Amino acid sequence: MTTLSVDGKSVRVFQFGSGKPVVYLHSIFGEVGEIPFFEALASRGYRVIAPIIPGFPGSDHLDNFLKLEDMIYFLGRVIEVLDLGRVPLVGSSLGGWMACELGTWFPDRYEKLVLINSFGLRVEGARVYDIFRGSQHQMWDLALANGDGLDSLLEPALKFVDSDSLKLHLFSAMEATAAIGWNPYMHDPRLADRLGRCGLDTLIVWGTLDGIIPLAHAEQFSSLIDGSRVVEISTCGHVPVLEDSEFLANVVGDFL
Amino acid sequence: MEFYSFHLMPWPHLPESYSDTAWITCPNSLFDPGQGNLLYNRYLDELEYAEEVGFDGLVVNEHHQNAYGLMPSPNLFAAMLARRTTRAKIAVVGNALPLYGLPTRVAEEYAVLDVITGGRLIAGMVVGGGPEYYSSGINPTQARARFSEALDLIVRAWTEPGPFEFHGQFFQLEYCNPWPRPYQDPHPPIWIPGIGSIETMEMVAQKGYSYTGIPFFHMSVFEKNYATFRKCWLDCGRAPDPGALGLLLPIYVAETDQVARGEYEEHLWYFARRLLNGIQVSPPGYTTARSAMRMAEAQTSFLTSVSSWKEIVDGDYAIVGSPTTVVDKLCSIIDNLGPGHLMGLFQLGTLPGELTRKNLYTFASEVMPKIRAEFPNGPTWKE
Repeated sequence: MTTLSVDGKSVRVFQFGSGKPVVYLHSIFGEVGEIPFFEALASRGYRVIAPIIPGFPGSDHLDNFLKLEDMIYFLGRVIEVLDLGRVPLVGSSLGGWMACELGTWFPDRYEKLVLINSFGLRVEGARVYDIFRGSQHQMWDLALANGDGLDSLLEPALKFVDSDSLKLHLFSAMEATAAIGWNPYMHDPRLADRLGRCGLDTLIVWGTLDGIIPLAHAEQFSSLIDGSRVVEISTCGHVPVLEDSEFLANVVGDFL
Repeated sequence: MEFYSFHLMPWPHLPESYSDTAWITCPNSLFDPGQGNLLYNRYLDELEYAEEVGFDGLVVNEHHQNAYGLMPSPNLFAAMLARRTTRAKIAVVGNALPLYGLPTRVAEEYAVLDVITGGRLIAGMVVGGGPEYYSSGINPTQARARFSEALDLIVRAWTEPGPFEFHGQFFQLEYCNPWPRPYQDPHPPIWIPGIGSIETMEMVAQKGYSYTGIPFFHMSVFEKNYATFRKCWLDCGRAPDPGALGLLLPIYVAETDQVARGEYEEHLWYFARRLLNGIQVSPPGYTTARSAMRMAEAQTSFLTSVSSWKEIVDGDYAIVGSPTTVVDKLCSIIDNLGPGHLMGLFQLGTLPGELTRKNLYTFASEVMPKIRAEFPNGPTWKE
C-alpha cells in the first residue's frame, strides 16, 4: 500500500502483481487490500492498481466536495498522476459508477470498462434498495448470496483487529458513499444520456443474487452502451469481487 | 429562572393497527384534516393558555414528514402566536438551517417576528433531526458545514450594515441586505440544541449562544453533557451563566403522585412507543463515524429503550407527580445542571386538552412560585 499525493490530498493506493496495468475502483464496502480477486488477476498477468476513493478509510476527504463532478474530477486526477497510459477501468458497485463517469468524461484516457453490479442509473420499476436506511445486517443479507458473511470476506483486505474496527470502517465507508450518492440516490440523472457517447469497449458483469441493485440495471447499462455485453454470475450477489474471485477473474481477464 | 411551555403538536390518532415508524415513511394517509383542524387550534390555544397562566415563554419547533411533531414551519406558528400573545417570549427551536435553500429567508422571517413582538423572539437554529435528511434529500454529510455557514450568514445579515457580499461554500450572494433588521440589539438570543457532540458545545460557547440538550435521555446523560458544556463555556473565558443553558423535560403535575401517574402514564407510553419509534435514525455523515457509534451505544439510555414506570421515575425521563414531588425533583435537577431556562413539555402523546390545561395551570400556580423562591437569583453553576 503506498500513499499518493494528489493536489494536496493523500490517496492510498494498493498495487498488486506486475504486467498490464488495470485500475480497480472499489465498492461501497471499500475492499482494497490483499483480496483473492487481485491475486487472481495478477496470476493472469495484470498489475492491479486500486486507489481508495476519497473519504473512505485510508484516503483524505476532499475539501469543498459538494457535487459528483468534484469527485470525478479528482478521481481523474488520481489516475492521471499514477501515469499509467491508456488504462482499463474495472469498477464494482460504487466503483462501477465512478468508472462510468470517468469513461464518459474522459473517454480517451481509458481503454475499456468493466462494470460489476454497478450503481449509476435509475431504472423505472427497478428500484435500488436504500442502503442508507436499513440496518447493517439487513444490507449484508441483501448484498451477499450467502447472507451475512461480509466480515470474513472483507478480512483479507482490511485486516481489522476486532468487530469495532470493522464497524467503524463500514460506518466511514457508508459516509463516504453518502457524500457521493445520497441524492440523487446512487445515480446520476445525466449518465444515461451521456453513457452512449463514451464509445468504450465495455463488459457488464452482474451477480444475479444482488438484492441491492436489480438485474434490470445490467440490461439498462447494456442497452445504453453500444457493443457491450452482460455476463451474469448466478452464484453471486452485489460483490462478485469478494464472492467468487476466481470466476470473476476469468471473465474479466478474458475481456481485458 | 425562566419557565417555558414547549409544544410538539403530535398526532395522537395513530391507529392501533399501525405499529411501524412514526417517521419518514409513516403514511400521510393517516393524517385526517378534519381532526387536524381541531388539533392545531387546540394546541395553539394551549400555548396561549400557558402565557395566560404565567409562563415566561412559549416554544415551537420544527419537524418534517412525521406523526411526532406537526410543525413543519415553526415560523408560521410563531407568527400566529406573535399576534395572539402580548407578554411571553416566543422561542422558535427550529429553523433547520441545512434544509433550506437561502438562509437570508430565516434572517428576514425572524427579524419580522422580532419586530412585530417588540423583541420577544428567541431565535433557535437547528441542524435538523436524522430522519429529516431522508425526508428532505439534503446530504447529511454536508449538514454541519451547511449549518455553520448558514448561521454565519444569518448573524452577519443581522449585524453587518448591508448591502454586503457573501461568498460561502454553499451560499453565494452578491447583495446581502435583508429588511427588516431585528428589534433586539444586536440580534435575538440564539438557542442551539445539541445531542452531545463536543463540537456543537464548543461552537455555542465560543459564540456566547445558549445550549439545550436533546431530550428524552436518562438524567445521567444530561449530567454528563451539561457538565461538558459548562466546562466549554468557562474554558472560553466566560463567567458562569445559567442563561446559556436550557433544559427540556416532559412534566406532569397533579393532586398526588398516584393521580399524576394514573392520568399520565398511557399518554407517555403512546409517545415513547409510537411517536418516538423511528426518531433514532442517524444517516451516514450526520455525525462523525465515532459519534455515530457512541450514539448507537447511548440508545440504551433513551426513552425508547424504557419499558417500566420505575425506569421513567428513576431516570427522570419525565417529571411526574404531586406539586411537592415535582418541585423537589426539578429543584434538584436545576441545582445539578444549572439551566436558566426550564422548558416543560406539558402536552405529550395522546394527553388530552383538559389534562394539558390542568397540568399547565397546576404547574404555574403550585410549582413555578416554589422553584422561583428556591432560586431567587436564578440557579448557580457548581463551578
